[in-house]
Amino acid sequence: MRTYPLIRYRWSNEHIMTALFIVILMYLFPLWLQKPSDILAFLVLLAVSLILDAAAGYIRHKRFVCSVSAAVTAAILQAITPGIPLWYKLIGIFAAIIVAKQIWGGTGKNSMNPAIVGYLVICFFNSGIYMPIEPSLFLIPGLVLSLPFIIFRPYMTLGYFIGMLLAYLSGDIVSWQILVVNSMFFGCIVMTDPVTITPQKFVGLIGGFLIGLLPMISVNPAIIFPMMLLIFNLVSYLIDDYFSIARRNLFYHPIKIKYPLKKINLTMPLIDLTLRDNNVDEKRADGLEYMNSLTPEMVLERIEANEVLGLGGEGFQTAEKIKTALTSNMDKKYLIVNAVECDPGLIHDKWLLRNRREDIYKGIKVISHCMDFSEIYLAVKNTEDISFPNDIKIHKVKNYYPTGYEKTLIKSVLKKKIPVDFIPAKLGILVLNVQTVLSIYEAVFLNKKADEKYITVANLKDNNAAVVKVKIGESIMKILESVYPGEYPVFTGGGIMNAHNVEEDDIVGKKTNFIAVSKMPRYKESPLCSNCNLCTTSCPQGLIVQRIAELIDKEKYEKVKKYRPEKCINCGLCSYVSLCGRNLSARVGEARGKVLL
Amino acid sequence: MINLKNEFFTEKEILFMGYSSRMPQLSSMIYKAFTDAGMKVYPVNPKTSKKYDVKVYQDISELPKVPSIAYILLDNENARTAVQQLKDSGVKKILFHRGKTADQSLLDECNEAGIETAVACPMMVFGSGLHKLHGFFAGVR
Repeated sequence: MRTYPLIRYRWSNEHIMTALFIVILMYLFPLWLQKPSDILAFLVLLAVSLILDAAAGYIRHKRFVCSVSAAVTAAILQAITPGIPLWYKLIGIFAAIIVAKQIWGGTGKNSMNPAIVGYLVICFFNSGIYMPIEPSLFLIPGLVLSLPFIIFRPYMTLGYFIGMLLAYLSGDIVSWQILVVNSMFFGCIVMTDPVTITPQKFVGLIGGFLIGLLPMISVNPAIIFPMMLLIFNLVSYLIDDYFSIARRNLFYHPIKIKYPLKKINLTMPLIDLTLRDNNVDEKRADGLEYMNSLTPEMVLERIEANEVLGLGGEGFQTAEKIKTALTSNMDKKYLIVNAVECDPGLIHDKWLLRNRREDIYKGIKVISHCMDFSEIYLAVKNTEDISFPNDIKIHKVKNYYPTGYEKTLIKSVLKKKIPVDFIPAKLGILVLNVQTVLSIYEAVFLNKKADEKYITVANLKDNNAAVVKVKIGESIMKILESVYPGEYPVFTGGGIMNAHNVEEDDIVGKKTNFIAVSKMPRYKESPLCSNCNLCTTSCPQGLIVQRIAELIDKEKYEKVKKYRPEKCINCGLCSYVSLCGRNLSARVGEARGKVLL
Repeated sequence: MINLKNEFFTEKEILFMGYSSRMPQLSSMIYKAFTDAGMKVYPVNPKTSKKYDVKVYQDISELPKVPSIAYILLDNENARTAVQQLKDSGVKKILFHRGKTADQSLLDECNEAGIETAVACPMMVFGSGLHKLHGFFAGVR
């Protein structure tokens, strides 16, 4: 059974294409004002385009798939061929949909811009000069609304703007109005097609610049421009698919995820489901003097004997981790207490920080009793209501996901980049989850076995959550019945970004942080990937997620190794942002499993 | 046509025969529609797959309990096999996905075994948007 985020982007490819279609209609509006009969011609063109695309999609996928991209193609073709008889445009749309798109594999697989191919075919049958969009005040809304689409291929658009500006300054474009209108239409609408234009920064910038400048200084820009664009499409195809130029130089943009839980009262009472027996050494010494009576070796022995594990999600033996840091030969050692809790579905660490503050501080002092740290940090997202003595530095991290991941956190706190294959503890950097620190306190001061943990139990239908103390090994369904009785379906996992359906006999494990009642998330698994690369640009590990997923779908397990899926930290972001609704993190997880076998 | 929501789906648990990894979109859409309506779903498919996002049982004998309502999303031949299994397992109602799943002879066989039948896509009952409209015109909502 695969894991997946329970929350997702609300946007899909179809939403974006529909928005694009509406914006292009705004460019057609002035033409329709002049000649209303063109509306009917456009409707016919649109209908033919949709029918062709839907039919081809049905033959390929054995079901109807959304054809809104065909509507966009028809609208672009209409905009760049004003005054041309309808039947020429029908030939053009046939070439666009069938020759330029479907023969290559359909939406997302074509290497050339279909509308531009259709335009060139029309030029072949009906020579004439078309293409420039005539300026008009009625275009202002369309121009403004075109701007957001730049985010798909910003470097290409920027290069195109610069090229066009240079052409204008050298007198090859007659008016600034034509410059503005055509730069916006072609730069924001046509050249931001994520399927046919490479996301590479440098190549996009240079390509856009040349396409903006050279046609304008040539004899026949109406032909040279589309030819250059199609050549660039092929260059993009070669770069992205055959030369495997690393996409890691794409700009990584961290993602902020909106918390699905409404403002939770972090002083709420704990729900304690542990049936604690009293066979525990309840020797609560006064303050820290008790700890001073223990040697570092005794402290480590207690931590080991009470089986303290990493409670942040990975479940490593904490004593081993501390010993690794202890034996590191680095001059300076650091302790980072990780209370970031970046998963948007979790609240228990935040609760602990506000309700078990003193015990956590004692836990920190226990660890620093074992070794000398140059600095001790407490990493949090929100410093409200947090106060610790001055020997603990509070470090506020940015509110992005997943800033709580160990190596990302080290980079934020210490400004050090730790390579994938390196263990931070060996470099003298000890990162411990705040609940682990609490567990250390309990193991040393109370001689208590670490067989309990604090987890978040949430009802995402009502956006409520509770902090619950449970025994490791307890039945998940039983826990849920105690907190939210009678609710279904139930999910569990490391957090809201990494959850799976609960089976009847599932129990709380080392890595269980989260139980929730929620609606089943919708992963529609559309076959129409638009190559937007959001999955890749949002991956904190710089993985080429789309390629890994493709290879896993085709079961090419040997080929997937070169893309280093073992670097995946299972944050679930790729599934969260996928505009075609694919559970990409599960595929990357499968690839990771194959490589680590 | 009976009102499926009120008269057929009288229990909050359902057996989903034919949950498929080959048609994940349809299976997951229907699964989600059932769960969003508050129903507990037990998907069954004898073929294992790593591509399932939910727990899928390989046989009815693995189920912790057998619900009294079953939904069958299979072709006619496999639907017949499924009905044979369901006859002796306490299922009282079967919803077939469409006419091709259950021809008249299969429906008669079910009725003779005391199993109430209906033929409709569950999206017409539990879906939203156009599915709702479809269900309204089909008279099943």
